[in-house]
Amino acid sequence: MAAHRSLLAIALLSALPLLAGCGSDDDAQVLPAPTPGTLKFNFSTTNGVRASPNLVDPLRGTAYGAIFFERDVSLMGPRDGAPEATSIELANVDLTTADVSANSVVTIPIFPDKYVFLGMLDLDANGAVERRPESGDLATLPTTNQFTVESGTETEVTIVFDLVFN
Amino acid sequence: MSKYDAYTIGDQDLPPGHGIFLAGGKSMVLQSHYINTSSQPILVRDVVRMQKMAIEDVTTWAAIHITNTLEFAVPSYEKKKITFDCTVDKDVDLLMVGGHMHEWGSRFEFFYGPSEAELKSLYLADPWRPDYRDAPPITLFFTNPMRLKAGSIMRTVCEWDNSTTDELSFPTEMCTSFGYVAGSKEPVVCSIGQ
Repeated sequence: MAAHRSLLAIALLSALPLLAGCGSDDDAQVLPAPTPGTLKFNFSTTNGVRASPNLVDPLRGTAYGAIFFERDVSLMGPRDGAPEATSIELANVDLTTADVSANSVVTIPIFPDKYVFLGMLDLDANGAVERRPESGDLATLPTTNQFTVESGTETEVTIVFDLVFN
Repeated sequence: MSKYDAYTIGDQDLPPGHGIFLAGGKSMVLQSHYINTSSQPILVRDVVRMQKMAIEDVTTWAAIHITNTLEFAVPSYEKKKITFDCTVDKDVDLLMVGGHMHEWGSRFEFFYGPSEAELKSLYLADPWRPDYRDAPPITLFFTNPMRLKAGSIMRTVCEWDNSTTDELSFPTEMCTSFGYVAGSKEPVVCSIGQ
C-alpha cells in the first residue's frame, strides 16, 4: 500500500509540469510546479529511553517508518485515511553507543511541504511483517519529528525515538 | 490508521478488566486552551470519548495518579532545580507515569523507592523539549505493573532554564507527574502548596 501511494505521488509530480501548461492564453500566469525534494534520515534516541526500565534489548535494529503531511497528524496520530507520502526501512541502525546512527536512508522525491515522521525501531527483529512496535521496541511521539521538504534540495533530518513501547 | 502507530497517550486502553470509577451525581469539567495567532476568529471543537463498562465487569479499579508542586520560582535568566517527595498512602500498582512541564523545562525525572537510599528512576525526560508540553514521552507498565507500597517515596525532580525577563512560577511553568495506578478507586493525588 505504501509503495502504491509513493508511485502515485511520483506520477502526480511528473504530470504537474504538463498540467501547468493547460489553459488559454488569457489565463493568469501559471506558476511552475515546485521541484520535489528528498529527505535523508538518520536516527537517534533520548537519555530517557536509554534509562527506561522497559528497555530490555540492545539499541540495535531495523528502523521502519512513514511520512505524513503535518496537517494530517495530531496528538492522536494520523487521521483516518491519511495518506503516506512515502515510507522507509533501514537495517542495522545501531544506537548502542552512538548518539546518532552512522547509517542513513534517503527517500524518494516528495512534494515540498511540511511533514511528520512516525515509526519504530525494531529491537527484537520480528517487525518485518506487521511493522508495528511491540513491548520493548522504540517508537516516535506523534508530533515531535516534524520537518519541511524544500524544493529541489535534500534535507537532512535526525529522527528521534522518544518512547520504549509497552 | 497507519501501520506505524505513533504512541499517543489518549489512544491507549487500560488493561482488560480495568475501569476508572466515576461517581454518580458529579459534574465533569473539561478545560481546553487555545491560542489563536491569526486575525480571524476560528471555530474549534473538543471531543472526549469515554467508554463505559458495567461495574460488575470491572476486575481491577484504576485511578489517575498525580504529584504536583506549586512551590517553586525560577528567577529571570537563571537555571533552577527542585525536588519534592510524596509518600505512597496505600499499596497500588503503577500503570503509567509521565512528566509535565512547559517550554522552559530542561529535565524531568521521577523516582520511586522504599527509602531515600533505595530510590530508583522510573521516568526520565532528558533533555526536556518544548513540544513535550503537549505530548510528553511516558513510561508504561501495562504489561508489568510496578508495585508501589504504602509508606514508600515518590520523588519528582524538575529542572528549568529561564530565558525570559520574568520570574517563572505556577501556572506559567509546572512540575507535575501524572499517570494511572491500579488498585485504587479514588485518584491518588499529592499536591504541595496553595
